[in-house]
Amino acid sequence: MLTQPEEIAVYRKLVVIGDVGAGKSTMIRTLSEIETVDTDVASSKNIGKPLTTVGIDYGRISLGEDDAIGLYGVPGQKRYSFIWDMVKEDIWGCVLLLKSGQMPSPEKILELVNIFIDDPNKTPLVIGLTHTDIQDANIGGLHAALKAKGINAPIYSVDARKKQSSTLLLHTVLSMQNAFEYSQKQTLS
Amino acid sequence: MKKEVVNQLFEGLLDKYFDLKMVSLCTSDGFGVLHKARLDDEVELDRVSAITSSLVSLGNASSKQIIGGNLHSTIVETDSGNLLIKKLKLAEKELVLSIVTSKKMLLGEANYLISQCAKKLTQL
Repeated sequence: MLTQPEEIAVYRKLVVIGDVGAGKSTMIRTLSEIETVDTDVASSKNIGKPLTTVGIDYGRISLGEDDAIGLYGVPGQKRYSFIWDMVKEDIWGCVLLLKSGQMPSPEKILELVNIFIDDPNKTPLVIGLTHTDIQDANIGGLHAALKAKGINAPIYSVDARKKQSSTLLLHTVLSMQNAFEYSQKQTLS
Repeated sequence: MKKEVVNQLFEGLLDKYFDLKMVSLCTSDGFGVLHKARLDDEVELDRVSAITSSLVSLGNASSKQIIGGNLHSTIVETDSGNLLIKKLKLAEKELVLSIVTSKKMLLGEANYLISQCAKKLTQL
């Protein structure tokens, strides 16, 4: 049964971003408690996978009776940036998935992150490195390269197909958001 | 399917129907195939392809999860005109056909026009 939006007191918007084939749709399917709205279609070009998202992936997780997280996955291809513009308002948290072995440059990562996150002190960013079972990745090196660009986000090696692995990213966003809220309260008091 | 033949079909339609402002064909994952338009502000094929492929995929999700049945078309109505989008399969490839018509063309007429265009494409 669909829940009426007015019944949810707190609705948090978690956006999943990243390049084509990083595992965004898979992660949303893994985490969502509802049947996801997925807009995957057959790829007409060789992008390393048979399906690609052209609209939006949507899923949801309830944290309590009146508290829910909406999971929004957006297409990785830049020509779908009009969907990025629709989704980027009022983001509560952001998960960036990077495919090991097809890592964009730190500059490209910064460019993408800046589209979705206005204030890194209000919107937590967590990075998940996928496909590390196929291609090893140097997490320490990536962390240092991103830190040099001003992105100081936790990075995990994850398997988007596994609930425990995907939940780790979600829990980290939750913890970071709680820490932000706590430090804000401390500043105000 | 030869691009020249599709080009002739699209040009023929634009010549015949003054209130047809744009006709475009792209792959279901948003790569442009062919685009003909006489809009005041020319829209790039890449943009049309990305938007129409997204809309048809959302229309498909709506038909599956809300309405039921197979998707026939996705329609966007505005003050200036209508955008109609149709999914079709040609030579085992999923394609998206879209047209923009002025407000003067009735929605039913526009729907008939895109259906006829889709039918002609499948016969090429």
